Parts: sequence; structure tokens; C-alpha cells
Amino acid sequence: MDLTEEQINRYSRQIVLKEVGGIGQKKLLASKISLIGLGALGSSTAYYLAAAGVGTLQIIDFDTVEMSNLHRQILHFTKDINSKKTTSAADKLNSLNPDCTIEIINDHITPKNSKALLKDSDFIIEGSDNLPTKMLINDTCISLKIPFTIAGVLRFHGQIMTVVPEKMTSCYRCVFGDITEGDSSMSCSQAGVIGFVPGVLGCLEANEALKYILNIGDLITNKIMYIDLLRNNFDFIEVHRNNKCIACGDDPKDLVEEANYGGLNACNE
Amino acid sequence: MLAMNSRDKSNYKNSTQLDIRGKMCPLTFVYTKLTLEVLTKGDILEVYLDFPAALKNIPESCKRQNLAELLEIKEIHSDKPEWIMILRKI
Ligand SMILES: [Zn+2]
Repeated sequence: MDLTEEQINRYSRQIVLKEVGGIGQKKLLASKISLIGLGALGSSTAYYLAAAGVGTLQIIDFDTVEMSNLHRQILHFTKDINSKKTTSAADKLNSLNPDCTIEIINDHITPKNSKALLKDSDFIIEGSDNLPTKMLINDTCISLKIPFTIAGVLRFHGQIMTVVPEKMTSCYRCVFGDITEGDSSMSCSQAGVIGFVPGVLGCLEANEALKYILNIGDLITNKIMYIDLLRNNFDFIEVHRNNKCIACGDDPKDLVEEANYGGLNACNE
Repeated sequence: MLAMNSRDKSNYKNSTQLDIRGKMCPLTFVYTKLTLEVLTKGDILEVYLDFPAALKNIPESCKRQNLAELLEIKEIHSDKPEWIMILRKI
């Protein structure tokens, strides 16, 4: 596959980079990345990955656009209120970059469908707003041995970590354990969030995917990056794989089959 | 100063030619880089160009990215600003 004149022009500012080049650009164009959640995190992640020329972006969300989303979910416009987030996102991403094929999954991600939906992805990005989904993505990706990144945001702060199962890096459960009950006090609707925080973290998630696909730089593995945009703190907290971890430890369980993910098991109706 | 006809191929055997006359920086380097990427170490690339800043920019970027070394730059015409830049892939 050779790059067209139009592609050379479109991606010229990243092809110029030593770390990308034509070889890297073709890897991006041949890659498939799956994205769970088209809210604030997913908006910035999807936008930049489509722009960078990722070949296939599978976007998964069941939700519809609401007025109160628009201050932070930058893929959705006022005219999109009441539209499906997937449709609204695909509309923007297709017009941004026709090189990027958008695959729409208009559904909840659940223990019943997660493996089938994610199995042919090169990298997976978790951008949902709830802990049970984050745990489900963690467990599914570990079971499928597909690298992934998870971010979360609240108020003015947020955090991100990447997991590479093949390299046995620390997983989300190594750090956060067996919490699967959703804690409503932790949701954005209750606590609030400033739009720029998921904007920054969504970019960081996109950057993790790009670095993995191109095999360049360092991933945020075995550490959590914590940012506080009110106090301008950018910290890294070292974490370690727990060999007793129920997801990735020495005696792991197939959690996707067995675990209780709060309301997730029932919410695909 | 060596004046040569553009059809007069240089003394480099088995060289690859790239014509980027009409292109400006940074696309001059982008096209050069894309061509160098598919060559093997030691191969010669002859780049036909007419954008003066590229005479400096292409060799500098090739050196910084460890892509190629500059062997020489020749004028194609004595009366027109067109050059052949000879690079060796490293
Ligand atoms: Zn673990």
C-alpha cells in the first residue's frame, strides 16, 4: 500500500517526525482501535486518532446527546441533541478524515458482548464514566491479551494508566482491587467536571494508542499519571503488578464469565 | 560549476531518481524521506529539486534522522535554479 499524494500532504507534519515517517503512517492506517464511550474523553480521543489517520476506529456507546454534555463532549454539537452519540460522532469523524473507517456499535458493552466486540482490535481505549465498565474492559482486555488504556476524570482532576497484558504490566484491578459496585458519588453528574480535564486526558489516551501502534517512546505502564489542573500538578504514582490480582495474577480467573459488574450484567436490555 | 542536461544521468550507477521540482519545504523532505525509507543502506538517491531552501533543509533533516548523507549538489542548468542532490542512504 502506497500513500497517495493527498495522504502525504495530509499527514506531512507527522511523517516528517523521525518516530513516524511513511512506515509509521502506514502502520496507523492499517490499525484498528476500539473506543468505549463517546463522552468527553472519547470526543477528544476519537477526534485526534481519526485526524492522525488510524485506519479503523470502532466506537461504542449507547447514549444520546444531551444539552448538559456539550460543555465538554466536543464531538457533539447543539444540533445533535437527542441524536445517538455514535451517529453524531461518526458524522464529524467521517467529514474530518475519510481515510478513517468508523465502525459504529450502538449498544452497551457487557460481559456478554465485550470479547466479541473487542477481539480484533490492536489497542483499546476506555473512556466511559463508570467503574464497572472500566473493570469489565480491564478484564476483557487481559483475557484477550490486548493492550489498553483507562482514564477517569472528576472536577479538575483525572488519571490515566495503560496496561500491556503480554508484558504483564500492572492492571487496573492490581491498583483498585475488586470494586465493581458503582459509586454514584463519583460520577461527573454529581461531582461536576470541567471540560478541559477530559480534553487533556483524551489526548493522552490517543497518544498512548499511537505510541503502542508505532512502538515508540514510553507508555504509562506500571504507573498512574494523575493530573490536577486546578493546582497544576502532573504526578506519576508507581504501581506494581500484584501476583494475587484476580484478573492478571498468577492464578487468574476468567472474570468476564464470573465477575459481577454492578448493573452491567443486566443493562443490555 | 558543472552544468548538465537534466536527461544526462549522473555517474552514479543504479541510482534512484526522485523529481520534486515544484514542491516546497517541508514536502521536499517528506518526499525524500518516503523514498529513502524503501531503499537499502548504501543506495544512491538523486533528488531533482528547485526550491532553494531545500538545498540546506533536506541534508540537515536527513542527517538528524540518520537517513542519508549528502554526497553532492549539482546544478542542472546554469541559467535556471534547478539542482540534483545526490544522497546516500545510511
Ligand atoms: Zn492485575
